[in-house]
Amino acid sequence: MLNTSPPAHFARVRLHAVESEPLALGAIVILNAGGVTQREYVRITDGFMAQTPADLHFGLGASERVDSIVVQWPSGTRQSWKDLPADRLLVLRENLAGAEASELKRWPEGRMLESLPRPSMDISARRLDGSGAAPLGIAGKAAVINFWSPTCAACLEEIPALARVRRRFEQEVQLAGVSVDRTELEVVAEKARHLGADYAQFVADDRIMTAFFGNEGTTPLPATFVFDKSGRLRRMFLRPVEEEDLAMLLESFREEGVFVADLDTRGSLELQEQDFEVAIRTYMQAERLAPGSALRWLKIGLAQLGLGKHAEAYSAFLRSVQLDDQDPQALANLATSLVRLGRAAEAVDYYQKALRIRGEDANTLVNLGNALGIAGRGPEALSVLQRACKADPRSAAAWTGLGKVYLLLDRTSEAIVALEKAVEIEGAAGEAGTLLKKLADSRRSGRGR
Amino acid sequence: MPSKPLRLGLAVLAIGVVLAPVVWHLLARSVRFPQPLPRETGESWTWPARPKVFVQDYARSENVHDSYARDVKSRLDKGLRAQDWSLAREALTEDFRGGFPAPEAGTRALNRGAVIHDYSEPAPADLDRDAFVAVLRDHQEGWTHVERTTWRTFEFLLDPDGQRAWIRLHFQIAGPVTSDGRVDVQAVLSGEVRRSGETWKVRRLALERGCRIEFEASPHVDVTDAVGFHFNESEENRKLSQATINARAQKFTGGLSAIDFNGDGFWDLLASSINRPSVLFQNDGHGGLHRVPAPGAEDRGVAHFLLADLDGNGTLEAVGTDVTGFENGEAELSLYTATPDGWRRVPGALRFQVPLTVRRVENYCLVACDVDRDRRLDIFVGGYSTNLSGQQEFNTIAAYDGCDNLLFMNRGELRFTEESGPRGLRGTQYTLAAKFFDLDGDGDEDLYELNDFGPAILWVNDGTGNFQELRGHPLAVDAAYHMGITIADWDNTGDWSLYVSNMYSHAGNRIVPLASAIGEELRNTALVIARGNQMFERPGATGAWQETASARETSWADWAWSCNFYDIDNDGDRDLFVTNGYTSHEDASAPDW
Repeated sequence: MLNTSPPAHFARVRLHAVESEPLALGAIVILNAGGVTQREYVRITDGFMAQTPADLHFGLGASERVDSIVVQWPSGTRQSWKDLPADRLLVLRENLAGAEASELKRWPEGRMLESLPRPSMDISARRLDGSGAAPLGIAGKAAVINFWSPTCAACLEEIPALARVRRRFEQEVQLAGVSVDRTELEVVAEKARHLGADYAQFVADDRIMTAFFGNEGTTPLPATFVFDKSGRLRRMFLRPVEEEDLAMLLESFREEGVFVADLDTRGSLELQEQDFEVAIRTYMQAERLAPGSALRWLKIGLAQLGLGKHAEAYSAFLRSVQLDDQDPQALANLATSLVRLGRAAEAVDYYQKALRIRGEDANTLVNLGNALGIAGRGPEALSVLQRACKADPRSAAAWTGLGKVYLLLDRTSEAIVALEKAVEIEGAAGEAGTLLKKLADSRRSGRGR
Repeated sequence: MPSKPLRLGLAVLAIGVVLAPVVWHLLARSVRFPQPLPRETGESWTWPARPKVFVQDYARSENVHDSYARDVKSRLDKGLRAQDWSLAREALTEDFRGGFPAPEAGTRALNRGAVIHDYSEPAPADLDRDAFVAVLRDHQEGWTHVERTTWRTFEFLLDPDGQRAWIRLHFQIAGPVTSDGRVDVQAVLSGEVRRSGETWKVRRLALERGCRIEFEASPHVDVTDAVGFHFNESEENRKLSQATINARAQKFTGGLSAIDFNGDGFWDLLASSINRPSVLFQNDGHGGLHRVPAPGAEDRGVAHFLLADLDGNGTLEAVGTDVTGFENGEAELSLYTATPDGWRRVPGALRFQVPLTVRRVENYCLVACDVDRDRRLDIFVGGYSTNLSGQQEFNTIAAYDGCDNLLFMNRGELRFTEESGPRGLRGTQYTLAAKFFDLDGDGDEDLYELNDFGPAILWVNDGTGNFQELRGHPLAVDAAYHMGITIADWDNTGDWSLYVSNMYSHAGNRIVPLASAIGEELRNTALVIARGNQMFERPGATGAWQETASARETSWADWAWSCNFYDIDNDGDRDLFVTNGYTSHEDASAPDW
């Protein structure tokens, strides 16, 4: 938003400290002008995720001079200046008496449109060569639409540059010239030929002038409008175009596509919503654009697990671990996918590595213990599951695992104690309850025999 | 001239729509309301007296509120927007009485191109419904259309009989006028609403305060297209973003920084974006902005930077918020230095320790200060979250499972040591903003840390760059969803004021006072959150800090993100700007988020 408030005086103050760091962050500037005393505080950050210039801005209203400035430097010294000009950048240096006053750099006075236009690249216009009407631009390609007149010297000067830009971006950009002169079209056409404007040429009408300039009359010339390939207006030059300015803008269109971060956000959302296939597809699109994210492969693996595709999940987790072999979540999931593929013995190493990073994490201990049990390494499984129960005595999974290992080792009474603890925690409906019931049934049938 | 508080209040640009369900959801999650104890009785009240007895069951009260709001909005809001006066009239009871000032009423002041009618004196409530609607119609005289109507209730005290309620609300109508100008009418109203058959209608309304601002022409012109200030706007990406918003996933943007990164005397812009690469716009010096590669653009891009000359060689460095290189319990922030060939990464300069289980870190807050006065800028990083965050404490009023703060002490030649722990800065909250300033006037800079989901912290510098938390200080008591901070002597009194952005909630303001069962302490905490932005002022250099945002009418700025004091009209005092807002669902009837 361009501030068009009525002009008032101001002072811009820049400090250079020598007894502290040069920006003088934290310095206090007290400015007096027209009987008003203002204070400012030097900083370079403000608000949220935002950096501000270290220069301080003071509005002076109607005051044409600054009566005085006092600076409290971070070094603790105070220094003052008197009678300084308004509307200048005032550079004040610690331990130097004089102030440097200079004009602020400004954009050249620009021409503004009197009302907001609604330009569109697909508006139809009459061709200069008399071959009928056609849209100025067609969606699918960026468009540069240049308004000119054979009587406008600045227009004639920039046309060769426009033609060069067109050749440089021929594959992706369409260029159109629109003559605001609506009579003597032969003169216009001849001028275009003479200047090498070898791109589509049109003749303006009232509708076009209203759409592009918000009026049917006054036109700042030359004027150039740039649209991206989806037809969105991206830049208005209400002045002559610098060739490099235009080229940089068109160049930047080439870099546009999807934000990988947005794809990752979307993938994460789909994973959360358990739409696993869409999640995988989205993540894979992100991976093609910016390959090599360990986190992304971890999530792809989780989505594959959600689909019950254990082999694919294993591949994704393995890729994640190859990219970051210190992520305990990826390591543990890789191990889990191996267990599900019937490769429990191979899972043990990954669980152990995850455990070394996580410390005595009960869940990882339970999974490791179960893998050891499945791998037939009963005594080791027993030790690990005992650690799991110690790490989290409220973990039903740990007690259940311990019970199962005791059963494996044929230590039934200890198994019953462990399983009963699990039932205490999660109730009889869980795996421990089922096992206890089976044990009881089996004992009854044993007695029966 | 309107009073200074009013003028300050007018400068707060409140845009966007508060979504009661969303905010209520957040609020409810944060305070974990137990079931309230019903206390209502049948005692009567008469307008305009504020009722002493009302329904305390917030679920019942909100249910009725929603019916009332739907009925009134579908008539008054819709009628005013469509300039359908008979429809607007239907929102009022037959025996309606209410006061609203005529456009030319109140004190009139000119302020930089704007005519401001200050309606501080309440108008007498002597208009019947036709006259009341006629006044609202008069306010819209000459408008080309109605751009905005707002009817948002922040107090709703339901009578135990369920048939009427006492209300307070923010009212606004605004629109462009034929002469390229704009009129904005804002008011705080109180009133009585009644159920009339199956429909809720307004029976009484009184103006508490309000104003009408008339701009002959907009003081600001949108030059976005003219200067080319556009981000990546590919069709594909816009569709993707919209789909994410439609699914109500979190969709943050970020902040905008102004800095002359190439030293040509023109301010360039850095657009930071949470979870996305930041975009650097170079000012071309003759009316345009060009996107140019930001530091780290050749890699994955970095969401946010702090740019400063950290080695004193006259060129800038860029400290990035991204954390990479997790290895053996360490990780690092990115650091780039400007060279004639572009930005060059300085690997390993900003390494710090992390627990082995931490594999991802998110930071949004970077602040520079020479904390130990060795003439070198040190860097404070307010950490937000890690892969281990977001557990039970997340989105509460006391979340401490965010992320460690970092303090990188500058040792010269782009060497830094991370010393947050030894120097006392041991925050682990969800930090979004921080400000160094000399709180105690002892000549060194203290640190004010603002956190999401928890209290702010005040760290006092002992002069050597060692910090101690100052507990119980008025600046560090309130838990809120703090997001931004700015400081100024805005009214030239010689005293600094701190302004902190937060999330105003109409729903929260309605509901929290009813939740008597949660206890006064928790209710007060929730009210601080619901009341939005805070302003802390200290009259006199040694006076006590006071929270003054409500009194100065600067608390209500909806879901506020950033804030900034700036004298935009060069009149010698600082105006206050608050950026706020939401993202909108593709379906306009669906809630914003």
